[in-house]
This record gives sequence, C-alpha cells and structure tokens, in this order.
Amino acid sequence: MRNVWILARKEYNSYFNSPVAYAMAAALLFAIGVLFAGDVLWAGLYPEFVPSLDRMIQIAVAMMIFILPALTMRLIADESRQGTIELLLTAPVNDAAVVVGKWLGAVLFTLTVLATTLIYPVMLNGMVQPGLDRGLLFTGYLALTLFTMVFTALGVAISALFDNLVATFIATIAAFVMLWYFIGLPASLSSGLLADVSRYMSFIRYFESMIGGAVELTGLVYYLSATAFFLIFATVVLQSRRWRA
Amino acid sequence: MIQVQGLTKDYGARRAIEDINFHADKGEVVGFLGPNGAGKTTTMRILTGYMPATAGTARVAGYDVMEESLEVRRRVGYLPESVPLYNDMTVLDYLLFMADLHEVTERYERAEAVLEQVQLVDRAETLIQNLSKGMRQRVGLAQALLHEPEVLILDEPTIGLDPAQIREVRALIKEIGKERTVLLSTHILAEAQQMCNRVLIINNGRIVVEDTPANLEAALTSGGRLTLRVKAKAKSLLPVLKDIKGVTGVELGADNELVVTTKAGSEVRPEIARAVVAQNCDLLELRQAGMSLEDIFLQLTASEGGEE
Repeated sequence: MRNVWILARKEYNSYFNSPVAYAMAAALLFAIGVLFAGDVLWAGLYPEFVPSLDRMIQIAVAMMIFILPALTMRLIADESRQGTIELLLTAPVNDAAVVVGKWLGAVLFTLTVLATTLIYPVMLNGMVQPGLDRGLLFTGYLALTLFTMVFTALGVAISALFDNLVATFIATIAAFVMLWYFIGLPASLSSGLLADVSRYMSFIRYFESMIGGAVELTGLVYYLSATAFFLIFATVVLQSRRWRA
Repeated sequence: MIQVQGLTKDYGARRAIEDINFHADKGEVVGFLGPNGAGKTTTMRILTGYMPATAGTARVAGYDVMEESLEVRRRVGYLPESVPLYNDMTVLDYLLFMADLHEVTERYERAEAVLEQVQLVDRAETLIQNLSKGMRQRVGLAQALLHEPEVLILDEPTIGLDPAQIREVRALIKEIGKERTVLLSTHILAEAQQMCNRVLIINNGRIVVEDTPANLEAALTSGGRLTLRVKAKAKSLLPVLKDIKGVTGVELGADNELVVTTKAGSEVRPEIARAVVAQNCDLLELRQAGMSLEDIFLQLTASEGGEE
C-alpha cells in the first residue's frame, strides 16, 4: 500500500509538469463553462427554462471519452518507450502496486480537474429557486467518479499493451467508445438473452440512473468489479512483459 | 553473494545465454566482458529480477532471483545500460522518489550523500532533461548507490563520461567493491584490468573464460610473442621465419613489421636475427611483445565465433 501511494503521488505530480494534462483540463473546463454560460443566458431569455446538472455531466463524460486516453496513454507505454519501466520492475515494488499506483495517480488528477467544475453547480445553486437538489449533485459526481475509475483502469490496461503512444491513444479511444456507446446497443435493438446481457453490461444505463438520482447497488458493484478486472488485466500484462522481455 | 548455476535464457527461438555459471563474493569486483549481443545485459537483467531465466538458478545475497525477487531487488543497486531516468523530475526529486521505493529512512541525507559521491550536488535542483549524458550517467549511478545495496550491478557504468569522470567513477567503484559485491559489464578492457578482481569473458551467450586479469594474461602469454621490424622486404621473410625451430606462427603487419609467436620456453631471438641478416634485410627492431587483455579478449571471442 505504501508503494501504491508513492507511485500515485509521483504520477499525480507529473501531470502538473505536463502541458498535455493542462490542455486536457482546460478543454474540459472550457466546454462545461460554455454550456453553463449558454444555459444561464437561455434561462435569462426564457424564464420557464431551468438549467440542469445532468446535461453538464453528460457533456463532461462525452469529453472525457477523448480526454482520459490522453491522460492514461503515457502511464505504462511511455515508461516502456523511455526504458524507465526497467527501473520500476527492478525496484522492490510488486507489479500490482505499479499498476494501482499509476491508476490512482491518474484518477486523483482527473478528480482534481472535475472538482474544479463544482464551481458551476455552486453558481447555479444561487441562481435557481429553491436551489439545486444536493442529492442529484452528489449522485451526479459519484457517477463521474465511478466513470473515471473504470475508464482510467481500462486506459492503464491498454497502456500496458503498447510501447507506442499514438497506438495506445487510438486503441484507448476505440475501447472507450466501444465500451460506452456500443456495449448497450443490442439491448435497444433486439430482445432476448443478448439484449438482457447487453442491458446488464451497459455502463451508460447505470450512469444515467445515477445522474437521475438512483444509485443501484448492481451498478455500483458492476463499476467497481470492472475497475478491479481492468487493473488485474493490466497487472497480468505487465507481468507478461517480464516473460516477453 | 552472487551464485549463478546453469543460467539459460531463450528469446523465442534464439538462445541469448546458455549454461552460465559463476559466483561473486563480498568485497569483489567482477567484470563482465564481451562483445555486443554476447549476453551480458541479459544475465544482469535476470540477476536484478527484471526478467526470468528459461532455465538454471541464480541467488543474490542469499535469495533466489525468481522465487524471492522482491528480497533480491531490495538488496541490489542496478544501473541499466541505457540509464533510463524521469526527464520531467529534478535530480533531487528523482532520488527522493527512488529512495521512497527502496524504503530509505533518511532519504534527504542519503540523496545528499550520493550526490556528493557522484559530484552532482550543484545539480540537485536541475531538471534531468537538461543534464548532459555524463551527468545522466552519474545520476543513474547515484540512484544505484542510494539504498546502500549489498550488491551493485552496473551495466557499462563509465560509458559517456569524460576522462576525469571515468577516473573518479572507477575509483568510486573500486572503493565500494572493498565492502560490497560489484558486477559490472564493460567494453573497455583496461577498465576491467584496473577495477576488477576477476574477469568473466562471455561470448555467444557462454562464459569463455573466468579468471583474474593477471592470471589470464599470464596463461595466455606463456607461448610468447615477438615483434620484429625490418627496413624492407618483410614479406620475403615469412617462409624463412616459419622454418625456425620453436616458431609456431608468423604474421605480417603494417610497415614491414612481423609478429612471431613461439613455443613456451623457447629462445629464438638469436636465430631470427641471423635469419633476417642472412636474407640481406636490415633489422630495425626485435622485441618481446606482451599480450594485452584486449588481445586475449579478441583471441578468445574470435576462436569461439569460429567454432560456431
């Protein structure tokens, strides 16, 4: 656990030295800011329009599908490319700690960026009567946190597969789009066993429930299990590197 | 401190090392010599726990490198050949990070001490990406020394350093080697001669020779070599010299120079001198030539290569 924290701290700090991380954070904040400003202006023009939080969260997720790969691609692939993976794998740290430490650092950085978006709900809270539903605010940000955990874990796993950053980035975006948009598609197109499996495996379904205020235990377990699965997969890939080295 | 038995590593169909056996004791600096691709780095990577062997066993500081890899890694300081470093960190931050991973208790004090050892105190706050190759090499060495390991494994530790730094690093390794075990690889044979108590020559994945530099030189020069230089017509002397009793070989060198190899204990110089004069050649020089470790290395690796 100690080593996980050491590695997470190093990754977290290194994002603050990376222009890519700043650019990604700025893009996210800008997009949400523009949406927020638009909603406020719209509400000024049409008093019956009530700005809501869920649109903001959905925009944040849509952007993170493309932003998170830029943050996770370097986690292991760049270490392999630069050879620093040899330092980590010959230090007294087990492979699982390397994976979890890197994942935790990226998750904490993303959550730090997401935390800055709280400024918009806080402002919104002062603009609408009788204020924002705090329960919805909590479940909305819980959904974003769980999304970050799962998809960062998947990003780490894909980063462990490649040495090339561009390949990692493209593969991660493809995997994110598949997992987010397409895994639940059979449920809406057909019925039967395939549709049932697709519905249960749909990340988007649980996510939408959460931002609507309903936190299902199944959804929580599914997100946490998927996170654990991807982290274990990344660890296995990293271990297999030793054999392939 | 290091015990290696029957170590073999395959990369797919290619065998990188085969049946490597050696040991290194405490207070010993052992040099690993060999041409590129001979298997030096592969052996070192197995010993540091970076990759497993296909067959054989290796123990470092009493622990099996495959079964007790974490224990081994706690006790080994490793400088990889390419000196990988985190370019976005300062020298001090990097050392503190590595000290944390190695559970060094007084990490600031240790970082300062190793920076002093490698003479980089004034670069502590410099970003690693702004360092020269030689400085990066020294940061890598500082990292390897940080946790005061029982065993140091250094892959080409002086590569990229200037002559003054090479001298300092060699002195440092020699000093460290008095109390710890050092296994280093090098292409520079003079370096092995200066620093190592023992030398392992590896070629095509096998250890060809293991001995002290002095013994190695003595054993392989027992036959003796003579160098002679004449004013002209050196080539015409080849058959004449080959016929002299006690001469085992003659090679033509540049500038009318000839290298004559002789049987152990035979004194052929007077006869050679007479033969040269009899051929109406002006003898300019006739001297006993020692065999350097470099010659031995080339001879051994060439003969091994020829066998394959």
